[in-house]
Formats: sequence, C-alpha cells, structure tokens
Amino acid sequence: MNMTEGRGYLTCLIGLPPEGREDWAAELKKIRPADDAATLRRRGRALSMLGRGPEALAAFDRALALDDKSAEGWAWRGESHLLAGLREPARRDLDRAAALDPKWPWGRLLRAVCLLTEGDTDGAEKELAAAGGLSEAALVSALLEGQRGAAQKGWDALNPVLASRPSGPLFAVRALLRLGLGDLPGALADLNEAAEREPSAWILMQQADALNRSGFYRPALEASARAAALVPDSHEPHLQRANIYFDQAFYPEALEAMERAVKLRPDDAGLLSRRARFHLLLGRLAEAEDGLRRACALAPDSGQLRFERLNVAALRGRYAEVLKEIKKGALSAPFDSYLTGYVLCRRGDRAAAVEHFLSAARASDAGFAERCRFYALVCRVLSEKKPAVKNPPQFYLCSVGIHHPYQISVENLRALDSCEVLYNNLGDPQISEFLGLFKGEVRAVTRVDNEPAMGRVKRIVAGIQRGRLTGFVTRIHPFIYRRIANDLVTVCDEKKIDFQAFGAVSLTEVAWSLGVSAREHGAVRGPFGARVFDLVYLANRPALLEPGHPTVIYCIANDEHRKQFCAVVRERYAPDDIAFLLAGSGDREQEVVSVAIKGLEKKLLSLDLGTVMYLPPRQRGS
Amino acid sequence: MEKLIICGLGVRVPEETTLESLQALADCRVVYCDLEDKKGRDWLKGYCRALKTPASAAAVVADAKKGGVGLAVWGQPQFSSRLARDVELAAAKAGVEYRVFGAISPIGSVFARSISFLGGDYGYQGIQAYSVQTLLEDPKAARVDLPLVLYAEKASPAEWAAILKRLGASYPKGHQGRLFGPADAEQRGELAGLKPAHAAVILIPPVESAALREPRRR
Repeated sequence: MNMTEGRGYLTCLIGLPPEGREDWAAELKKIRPADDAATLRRRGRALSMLGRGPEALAAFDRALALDDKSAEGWAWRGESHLLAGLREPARRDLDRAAALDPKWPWGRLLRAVCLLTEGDTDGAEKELAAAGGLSEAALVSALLEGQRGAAQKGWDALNPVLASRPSGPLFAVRALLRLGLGDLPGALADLNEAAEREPSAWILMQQADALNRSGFYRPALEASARAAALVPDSHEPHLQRANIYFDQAFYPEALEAMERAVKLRPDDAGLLSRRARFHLLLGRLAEAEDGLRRACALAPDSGQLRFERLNVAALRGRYAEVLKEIKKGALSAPFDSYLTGYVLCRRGDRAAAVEHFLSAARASDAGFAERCRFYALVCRVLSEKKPAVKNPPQFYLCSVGIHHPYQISVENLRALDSCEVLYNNLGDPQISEFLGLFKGEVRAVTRVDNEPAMGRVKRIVAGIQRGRLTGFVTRIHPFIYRRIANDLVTVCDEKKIDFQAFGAVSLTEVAWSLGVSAREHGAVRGPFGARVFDLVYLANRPALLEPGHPTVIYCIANDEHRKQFCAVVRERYAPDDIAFLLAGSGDREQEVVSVAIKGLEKKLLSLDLGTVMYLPPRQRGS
Repeated sequence: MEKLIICGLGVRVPEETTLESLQALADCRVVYCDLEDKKGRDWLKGYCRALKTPASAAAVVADAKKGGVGLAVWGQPQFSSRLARDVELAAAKAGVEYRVFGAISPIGSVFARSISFLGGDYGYQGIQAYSVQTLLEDPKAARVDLPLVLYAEKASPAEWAAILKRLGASYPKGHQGRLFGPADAEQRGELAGLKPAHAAVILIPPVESAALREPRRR
C-alpha cells in the first residue's frame, strides 16, 4: 500500500471524494479488460477512488461472485460503501474481511474508520491497535482523539509523525485538531500549508471552510472552486460554495451553486430539501414545493420531507388542504400537531394554535420541544389585546435578540405581527420558519456582489409602500454595530418615511459574561452599570480604561490594534486578573471563555472579529 | 436544570420583556417579582403559576433550594437590580444552581428610543451607563466626555432631582438630556429641568469633543 491509498481512508472518514484522483485515473487506464476477480477488484478500487461509486460496487459484486474468500474484495467493497455513506453494508463487508484475514492491517484500519464514522471510538481504537504499525494509522488515531474531545492527545501523537514525515494530509489533520482546541488561526495556517503541499479536493474544502469561518469568504470561495475543478463529478464542493454564498447572504449565487450540486446528484432527496430552503428564503415558494414534491417521490417513507412539503403548502396559504392531509394521517406526532398550530397561527387563530403547539411539545423533546413551546407562547402573547397604536409608522426596525428567535421582545413580536411585508436580514432557516407564523410576506435581504452597503438598503426602502406597513428583521440590537440599520435610518430620514425601532438584547449586556464573572468573582462588586467601548477607540485613548469600572469592549479590530489594546490592559490590570471573552460572531454558537490578563493577547488574537470582552472591576465599588 | 432563574423584564414591561424570559418564568413553581409597576406585575401574573413579592435575597434563595424559583426584576438584572445581584451572590454562596437570562438593558432601550448608535463610523465609540443610586453614592463614577445613560426604577423625585442637579453642575450650562419614561413620549431639556417619574432612563450626550461623536439622530 502506498500513501495515496492511505489517504483513501481519510476520505472515507469524512465522506468526500478521494485524493490522488489523477493517479487513479491513470491506474484505471492501465487496467486491461478482464473478468478475473483480481482485475475486477483493481478496477473497482480505481472507480471507487474516482468517485464512481455505482460502477465500483458493480465491479466488486462481480469480483466477490468469483472469489468470496478475498479479504481485499470485501474490504474494498466496504470502503466503497463507506464513500457512498452506506455504513451498514460497509460494516458488514469489513467484518467479513476481518474474519477472513484478521492480520491484514489495511482491513483493520478501514474497519477502524468505519467504527469512527459511527462514533464508536473505543471500537475504533481496538481496530487501530490491530492495524499494527501502519503509518497511516496516525491520521486515524489523531482524528479519533479529536472525536473523543481529546484533541490535545491527538495533537501530541500527531506532531512527532508530522515532524518526521510532513505531508499535506497530516497538516490537514492537525488543522482539524487545532479546531478542536479552539485555534482557528493555527488551523488555517496548517490548512494553507497542506494546500500548498498537496492541494487535494478534501484539503481545499477544509481550507475553504476555515477561511470562511475566519471571515475570508472570497478566498474560501476560490479554494472551494479549486476543489470543484479537481473533482468535477462531485457535488460536495458545489454544495460547500452554495453554503458559503448563503452564509454571506448572496442568495442568488448560493442557489446557482446549489443547482450545480443538484445537477450532479439529481436524485438526492437531501439536496433537494436543502435547495428548497434556499427557494423558501428567496420567496420562491412554488419552486420550493416542486423540489420537495420530487424529494418526497424519491424518499416516500420520509416523514420529514412530507412535513417540509406541507409546510410550504401552508406558507402558500393552502390551509384547508394542509389540515385535510394532516387529518388523513400524512404526518405523525409531533409534526401533525405542530403544523396544525402553524396553520392556525398563520390564519390568525392564535388562541386555538396554542394547544396544538403545546401538544407537539409534549410529544417531542430537546430543541423541537423548546421551539413548540416558544411558538405556543408567541401565540398566547399575540392573542392578548394589543395596545392601540395611534399613529403607526410606515417602517419598523425589529430584532430577534441574540438567542434568536427566543429572545424577541413583546413589542418586537407585536410589530412583526402587524407588518404586511417583512425583510429578513437573517439566513437562519429557523428565523424563516418563525417569520412564517405571521401573515406578512417575507422577503430576503440579498447582497449583490460589488454593490455598496447602501445598495441593499435602498432596495429595501424602495419596497416600502404607503399604507403597507413594512418591517426589517435583524439579530442582536439594530443600533449596536449594525451599519445596515444606520443606513436604513439615514435613507428613511431622507425619504421622510416614519419609522420606529425597538430595543433588543445585545452583546453589550454580555449576559453570559456577566453571569460567569459573577460566579467567579462574586466578592468583587463594581458600581451598578458599565462602560462600553470600541477596542480601537479605547486603544487610542488609554486613559478611558479605568479598572474600577466593569467594562465591555467590542473587539472588531485587526491584530495590530488588538495587540496595542492588550498592552494598555496589561498596564492597568494585574497579570492574574481575569477577562471574559464572548466569542463566536454571526449565527455561530457563542461561548464565554475566561483568560488571565497575562494570556489575553494570545487568546484575543485567536478569536474572531465579533468577539466582545468583559473586564470585571478590580476594586470594590459602591 | 437550575433551581433558580433570574430574569430582567426590560425597562418597559411588558414591551421590552423577552419571550425567552417569559417562558422561563412561566415554567417556575413560584416567581418573586420585584417590580414597582402594577400594570407590568399584573401582566406577568397572567403567565406565572404563583407570583410573590420578595421579602429579601435570603428568602428567595432559601425557597430556591427546593427548586423552581424565578426572580423577575426591572431592566437587566446585572445592570440594574440590587436584589438580583444579592440573590445571585447568595445563591452562589449557598451552592444553588442559577441562571441569569439575557434582557434588554437601559442602554439597549435608550438607543432604540433615541435612535442612537454604538460602533462603526456613524455611532458613539464609547458609552457609560449608571444607576441613579450608583452616582448618588459615587459622583465621580461618571465622566462628562462619554455619553451617559442614567437609569432607575425606584428613585424618588428627590433622588432624581439631586442627581440631575449634581450632574447639571458638571456639564456646561444649557447641556440637554433626553428623558424616556415608561410611556413613549420623550422629554428633552436641561438636566436640572427634567422631571422623571420613578422609573426612567435619561441619555446625556457627552460634552462636545472632537474625539467623541455626537449621536447622529434626533
């Protein structure tokens, strides 16, 4: 076995097209037409590595019909199944291979990979031990530790291997471990190195992902496009591009990339469902429904897809039809009650919707139960008698908070309910679904490449019509680090459009940071209140940073300014004083990390632009 | 699952109350409500199983040991409620698991109502927010070169008058503030001339400075 084959195991692990594509293409050309089992196995392997799964499986089937005692035959077919995402048959094939030749290390290594994809890290570890001294096992072993949450252990094991035998895949695996350790810049550096050494499709896609997470979406798109060129038959890079465009609110481009992915896998119900979400956000409901109809035909047993299709029908206003289908048993619990509640809410029958949502909540758990209970509360609040609004404005600026949509306030909720048109500035499908509770027509706020920020604002304002109340929906606080809200206000002023804005939970409150700080520094009580600063501003005016005051700092700044600011902090705080960092911008999961001032610079440089810092007061205040 | 949850209801109740907090309080066995405003209290009562007035932080924490206790306060708990802070510290000391929910603070409220921005090249670059009580106890806490958000739920007219008089002396003559009470209407005028009700939030722009931006709006 050579290294190229070894990389195949890594691609199994992540379900992506294999590396070494050109080698395998050459290998396939070399294979003479023959019907013996060994040749068929070689052919199957090459086809499998080239991403031609069905042809590969056909070749393996024929090979195994001729020789079912070949461990290689079973193992390679198992690998092919793995690449197709078919874990059950893969597991059966790999078990058979291990039974036939328990000492063949590649069979055991593949089995380890299979177990790892199932989350069985203990089982995978045993298989890895049986794989003997295969050097490729270092990759799998490191990923195993990462999957266990012991990224540091994987890191320790991988580094000596990397030092003695540096390679693209090893750098890429180390990058994944760095991600597990919260070191995004380090991961990106490793992926850049990996892409420099061996720009395989998998490495380029990982690089694209890290670039996108670091806020560099254009280079991310370029890396993803390079991956697509390497594996033109694979839908994965196109799907990745679609998701990157989607994250950045370039919705038409996202849809175009998604169409390419669908073209390559026209019978993938999951892809069709994902495309329908794009259609939904763009308000293309008929196309969303068509796609979901096709997805349902491809996967007739999928209750989820049936639910999604009926949900779109509800959004298209076909309430009676949807309720009739639910009554006929089209959906099982809890989706039957949920969609009934959804339809009733949209229809304006809020009080009746409450019980259906609660019923759905009782029949479900975790996040879905939380959503159902939240929707029940939304209906309950909206069924209260609303205070009369004497002179309603033409335009509302609304926010759904940080933990959206759950943190929406009552007045924001009422405003959304009164709007006939809602501009959705959030790509989160959960928000799209939430906004579907209201009668207003939902429009996506799309970015256009090379258009100034004011461009989309002008498009929104152009859509505001007299007598047709319009709302704009964003997250966090519209007036805290939200240029689009500022631009909306400016244009509304210019056009003499009456508008109203509402408060929202923002990062300024830094609820989590304050909560954590209170737990860890309960004895230190500062004055009631806080100071809030922009990092660059404060770095240039150090006298404003007074350690006796609780201070919140928005860290939207480059590395140079961050370093300058950390020097200011070091002058004023003790090395062991603690700062709290609220990291994770955009729609990503946010987390609070605490760090001693002496380690602040290193930590801050590793966090994204949206980081907000809380410096607790040093002295006892009032 | 926490035995105690602490929720801020925003500066105007129920308008600024988040549904997340409302849901959490609705799930509680009993909610201790430290809210002056009767209308807001009555509204919350409609969502809670039992609503009580807190006697003390110790009493809230003692009950919280049994679980299912909520504390509802004005504004944002860690910005504006002494009771919330005392309860939080007592709970931590007693080892009672608790959680503080996000809430709209006086800053968040006043920014929306005054159409003021923070950040970017269009908004303030820094701001300070203090309770009336804090500034009465520590007049030097606030600086005139930063915009100030001054707030209280339960300050008496005498306390408001005292702090506004004191602050008025720190700012140049004629310096104006913008007062937002529980109702929507805004009061604008010289600091000493503002007449807040018990609960109010006032935005005082900074003393003119080239380095600090004025709010752009109204």
